[in-house]
Amino acid sequence: MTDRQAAFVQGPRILGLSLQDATLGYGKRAVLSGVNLDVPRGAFVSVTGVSGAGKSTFLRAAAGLLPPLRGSIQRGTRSVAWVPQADSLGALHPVSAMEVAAGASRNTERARAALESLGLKDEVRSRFSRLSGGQRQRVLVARALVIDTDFIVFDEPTSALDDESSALVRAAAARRKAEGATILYATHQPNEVADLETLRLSVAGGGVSLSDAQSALKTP
Amino acid sequence: MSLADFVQLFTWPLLALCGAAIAAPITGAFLVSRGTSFHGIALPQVAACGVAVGFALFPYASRMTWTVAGADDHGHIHGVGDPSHLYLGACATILVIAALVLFEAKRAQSSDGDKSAVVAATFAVASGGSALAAQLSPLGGLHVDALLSGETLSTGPWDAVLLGVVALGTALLTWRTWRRLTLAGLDPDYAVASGGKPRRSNLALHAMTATVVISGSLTVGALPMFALLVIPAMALRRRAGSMAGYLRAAPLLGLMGATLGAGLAFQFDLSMDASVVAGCAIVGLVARLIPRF
Repeated sequence: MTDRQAAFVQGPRILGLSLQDATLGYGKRAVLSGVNLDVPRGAFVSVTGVSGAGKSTFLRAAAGLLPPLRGSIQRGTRSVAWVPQADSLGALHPVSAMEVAAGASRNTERARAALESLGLKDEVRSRFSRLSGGQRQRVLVARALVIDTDFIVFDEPTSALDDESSALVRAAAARRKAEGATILYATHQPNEVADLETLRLSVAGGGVSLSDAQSALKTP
Repeated sequence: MSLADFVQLFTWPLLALCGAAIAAPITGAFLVSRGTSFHGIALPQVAACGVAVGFALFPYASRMTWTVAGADDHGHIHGVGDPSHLYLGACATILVIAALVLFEAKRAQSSDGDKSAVVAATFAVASGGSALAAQLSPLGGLHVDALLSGETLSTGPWDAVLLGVVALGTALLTWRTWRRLTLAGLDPDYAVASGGKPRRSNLALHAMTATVVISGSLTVGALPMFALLVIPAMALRRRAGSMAGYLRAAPLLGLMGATLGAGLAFQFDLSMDASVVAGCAIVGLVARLIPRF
């Protein structure tokens, strides 16, 4: 078993995500320390914080991409639908929107349906790198709808999108929430998901704090 | 020489070339997509260096006393026992695997510029090593040079069978795993998060690359392998609208380049290896004019 595999433990099915006394960072550099939180299965967690506070570090750790330097991380599911920002993908690959949405799956019908649900019916066969930034981001969201998992991590999915595209992405997230998926949704504008969030996680000062969404909304 | 005589004389080299022209562009398509085109240049040279080192070390490896005969009609010098292809393949394999391990280690640690510099430096060292080892070989540099440049007349049925098996294996592996191989290069984070094993995919691609490079360098020569690995894939990358189409078109263009190269060699009585490079370059330029697919 590799270190990465050892760092992540599959928890009980009722659990969405649990971090116990976790220190997260890169190499020997800790970015977030003493992280303790429990996210129940089916929660919609908006993740907020200024740039450089450690949102991406937290999200990468939650998605299983960054082993904790200390402590433990548990998830209720083994696989995670990771939605990065569109410009993070290898630009040299001549892949179509359909191929990106399908990922490693052969289920192209499901990928086609996901693309159509995000308003990309006419772009199924288009080359991914020739799509607009908003279209590329929606393709990555479509990919998260194709994979068979109940844990989805969105890393600022609407930061480069127009209002119409943002609404389609939020609708897709709402659909998955209604189906019982646990969702972490990083955003600079928590109000955009105010009607979806059940918990709000703030990343600041080298730590995180988790609060009920209603109490967070009351905080000035 | 008539075309029929040419084909009859070069039947096995031409069949071996066809195998390389199918396998190398498929592998090259993955290398070019990942921004590792330099591997297509460096690795055949490393394989060639391994072959040259194998020649130089053969007297020690076989513990035999060499009696070097005079040059034959072709200017080649043959000893009493030529090293087997298996032995030379093993020598090339050791160096190619060492180079791949080095590239993979640097991939994880370095910036893009450093990674390219490491590959370029490897090519330089392998080129110098090939020349030195060839001179140190008791068979003499001429014999080694002839093999490294694809001594087509010595390519026999077993070479053609080897390249045929490699081409078939490459096509089958790609057909079965191209989605995973693509995802591991396109978005390795997503591959890990979704429960995939991109390291295993990368290892499979490295094994495929090493097999194609070593078998091709030992039979058709390093020079055609440079061209077949890089040029068809590079020429088609901007024209392709999907990875599946790209992987289908690359070997077709490779076959066209190899066919044109063989035709040039026949028509103008040129060496086959350099002609294949010219053929690939010509079809590569023409491919830039075809509509996107």
